[in-house]
Amino acid sequence: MKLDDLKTLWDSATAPDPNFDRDQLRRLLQNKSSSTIGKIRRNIILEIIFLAVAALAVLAWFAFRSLPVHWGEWVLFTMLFPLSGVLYWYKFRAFVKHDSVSQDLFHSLDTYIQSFDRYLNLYKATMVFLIPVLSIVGIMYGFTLARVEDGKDLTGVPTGVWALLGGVTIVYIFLAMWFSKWYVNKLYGRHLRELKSIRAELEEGQ
Amino acid sequence: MTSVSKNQEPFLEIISTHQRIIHKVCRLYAHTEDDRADLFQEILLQLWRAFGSFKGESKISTWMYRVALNTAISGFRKSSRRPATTDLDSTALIAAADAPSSDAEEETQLLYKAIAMLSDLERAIIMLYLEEQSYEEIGEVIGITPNYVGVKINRIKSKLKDILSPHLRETRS
Repeated sequence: MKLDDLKTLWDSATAPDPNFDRDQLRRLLQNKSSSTIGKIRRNIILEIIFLAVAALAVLAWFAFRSLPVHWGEWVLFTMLFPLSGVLYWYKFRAFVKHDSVSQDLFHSLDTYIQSFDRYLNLYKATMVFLIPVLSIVGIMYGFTLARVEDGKDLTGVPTGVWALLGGVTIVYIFLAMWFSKWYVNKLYGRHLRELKSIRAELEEGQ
Repeated sequence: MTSVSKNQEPFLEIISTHQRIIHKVCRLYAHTEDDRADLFQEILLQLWRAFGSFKGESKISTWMYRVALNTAISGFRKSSRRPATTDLDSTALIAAADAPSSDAEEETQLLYKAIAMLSDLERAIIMLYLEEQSYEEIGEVIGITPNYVGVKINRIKSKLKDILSPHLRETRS
C-alpha cells in the first residue's frame, strides 16, 4: 500500500455529514457546555449556593431558638461554612484562567492539566483538612451534649471510653479520606493519566 | 441588534462554510450518534467562546482545527468515545470487511476503523495530513516541530499499513 492510497480513500468517504443551516447552528449555541470543566464549574457554583443557604438557615436557627449557642456549635459553624466557602472559591478559581482552547494542542493540554491538577490538589487538601477537623469536633460535640443531657460533664469519663472514641474517630477519618481519594481518582484519574501521556508524547517534538 | 447577535452572524457564516472540519473531528473522536451530536455542540460552543479573541493571525481552518481537536481530546470525556485499541486485527475490522457494500465504501469504512485504533494524538495528526495540511500547519495545530510531524506521520503510516494491508488485499481480490 502506498501513501497516496490513504489520501484517495479519505477523499472518497461516501457517508455524507449533516449540514446544519444557520438557524440550527443558532439553536445549538443556546445550549449549555457539556465539557468536563463546564460541569465542574457548574457543580462548584451549586455547592457554593447550597453552602450559603445552609449557613443562613443555621444562623437563623441560632438566632430564634431558646437555648444559648454552645461553643462547639460555633466552632463547627466556623469550620463548615466560612472555611469551606474559601476552599470552594479557590477550587472555582482553579479553572477561571482556563482559556486555552485556541492554543496549539501541546500548550492547551499543558494549561488544562495544570488547572486540573490544581483543582484536584485543592480537593484532596479540603478532604485532608476538613474531614479530620470536622470529625473530631463533631464527635466531641455530640459526646459532650450526650453527657450534659445526662447531667454529667467530661471529667468523669473513663479512659476506656476516651480510647474507644479516639479509635472510632481515627477509623472514620481514614475511611472518609480513603473514600474521597478513591472517588476523585475514579472520576478523573484515567482521563488525567491519558492527557498526561499525550503531553509527554508531544514534549518529544518540542 | 445586540453586539452578541452582530458578532454571531459572521461567526455563523464561517461555521456554515467550514462545518465539515467539525464533522470530521466528531467522526474520528466520537463513536455513537449521541456522542457525535454532543461533541459537535461542544466544539461549536468552544469556537463561539474563542471567536472574540480570534485575531486572524492564522488561517481560519487552522484555528478551527485547534479548537476542535483541543475540545475533542482534552475537554470531552465520554467512556464510550473510543473503542478497544489493543488488538490490531480486531473483530471490528473483520466485520467492516465483511459488510455487504461497494468496494469504495468498504475501504473507507476500513480506513476509519483503522484510524480509530490509533491513539488520540495519532488520529489528530493523520487527519490533518489526510486533509492536505502542510507539515508547518500540522505543527501549528499540534504544537510540535515540522520535522517531528514528519517522523510521526511516517510511524502512523507504517502502523496503518500494517492494519490495512491484508484487508485491502481481500476486498480487492
